[in-house]
Amino acid sequence: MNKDTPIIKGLIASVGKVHGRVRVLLAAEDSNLLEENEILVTKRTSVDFMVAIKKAAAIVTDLGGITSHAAIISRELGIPCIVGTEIATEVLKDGDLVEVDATEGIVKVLS
Amino acid sequence: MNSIYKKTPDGIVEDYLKALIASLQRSGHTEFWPFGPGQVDSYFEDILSVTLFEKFKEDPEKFKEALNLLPANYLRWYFLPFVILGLKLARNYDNFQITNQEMVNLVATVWEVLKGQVSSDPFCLDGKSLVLTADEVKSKLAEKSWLDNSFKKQINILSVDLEAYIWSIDFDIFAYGVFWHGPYFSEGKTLVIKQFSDLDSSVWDINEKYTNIEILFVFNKEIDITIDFMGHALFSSEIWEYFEKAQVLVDGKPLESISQVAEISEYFASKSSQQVDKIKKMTPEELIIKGGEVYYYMLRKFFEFYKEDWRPPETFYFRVKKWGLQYWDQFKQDVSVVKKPENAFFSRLYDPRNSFTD
Repeated sequence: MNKDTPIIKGLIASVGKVHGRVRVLLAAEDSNLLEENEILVTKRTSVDFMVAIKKAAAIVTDLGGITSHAAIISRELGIPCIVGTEIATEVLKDGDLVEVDATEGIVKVLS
Repeated sequence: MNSIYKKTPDGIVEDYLKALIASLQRSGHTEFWPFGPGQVDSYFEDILSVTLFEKFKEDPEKFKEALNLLPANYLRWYFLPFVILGLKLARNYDNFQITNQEMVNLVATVWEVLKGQVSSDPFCLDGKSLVLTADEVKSKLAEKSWLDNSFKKQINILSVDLEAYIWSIDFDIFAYGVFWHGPYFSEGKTLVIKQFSDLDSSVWDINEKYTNIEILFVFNKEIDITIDFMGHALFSSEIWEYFEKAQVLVDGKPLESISQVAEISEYFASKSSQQVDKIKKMTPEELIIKGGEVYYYMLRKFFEFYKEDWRPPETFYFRVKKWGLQYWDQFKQDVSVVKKPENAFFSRLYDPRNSFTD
């Protein structure tokens, strides 16, 4: 994480680049809070996150590798996904405008 | 035993470790839902592995016949490392005896069965899992009931809804019911097949009307997609630009309209949601029992071959009562504290040629 230009790095799980507002979900029970085309930011996903995943424009996780749940699902849905950032849920807040650049494996905080 | 292999048994073990470690590397540091490695399998891994090994020792040819009833994806990730670890653990109990050479022979035997099932590398070291022959591929591609690329989004949603359903009945860690095979290259096209099996698993009281669904994806060029030891399909999402058509076979019958695809998709999304709710209400003891049953059920064709019931033995249920949550708690996942082990650890853990289980 670079403090001057907030950038979070992770592993590219599914390529693509989108802009959107962050929705941090720490519990799958809150999946309904995510609105269409928001960026799902979470520790890791599992089957109980499916409602949120299908609405998300991109997924960013703290944990996982390129064969983790978020990675598998995002590749099939064709949405950008960055996994294993370690800090995304600590750094990003609900409503942050970010660019998820999953061709470079970085998330930039725009505002 | 050596004469039937082009590779030596030691060479096969090296291939197995290489393929396994590469797959584990890709999975990264994560948590599994609703339980992690060791939390459930500790209650039955040694018992089951000894049962399987005794059958192998008694009659290797019969054992191979029985193993051959299990698909390649079961034999690789869901069978081999599990059994090796279980046999190592079993050395601590009841004076069970097994030599390292016998363990190596078991790996070589699974490799041999896999070699009969696939025309690609048995452990997917070439990035392929080729179950179909070239003629079978041609015949599939010549079929008429295809859904064109306007169905792409709905088919992708169906695929993830089915995958979610499998995770909800097999759990993340035993999700054997999803099986990718391919890539099959034919006349400038690529065919990749994703199979969903045991949708009507008897482990759960789900009264499911469907059993197996297959999605055949066809791309209009040779695309870069690989299948690994753990059964993952690895590809860049850019491959969807080359998606040409798909066929969805529900218990062998092709779907023909977008509304049929959407209907099946919504049906399984709803089913997995119900399963998730059910699982969230289960106690750890219930999850341990269900996890054991899911694993044994995966092997039911093997047991049926021996005319045996697939259900776990009484010892398993007795252990759950007697041991309580000992291993459930011991292996509880806390990724903030426990870091992912190094490759060298996994290599020693799953190598049949040592006794390492720490």
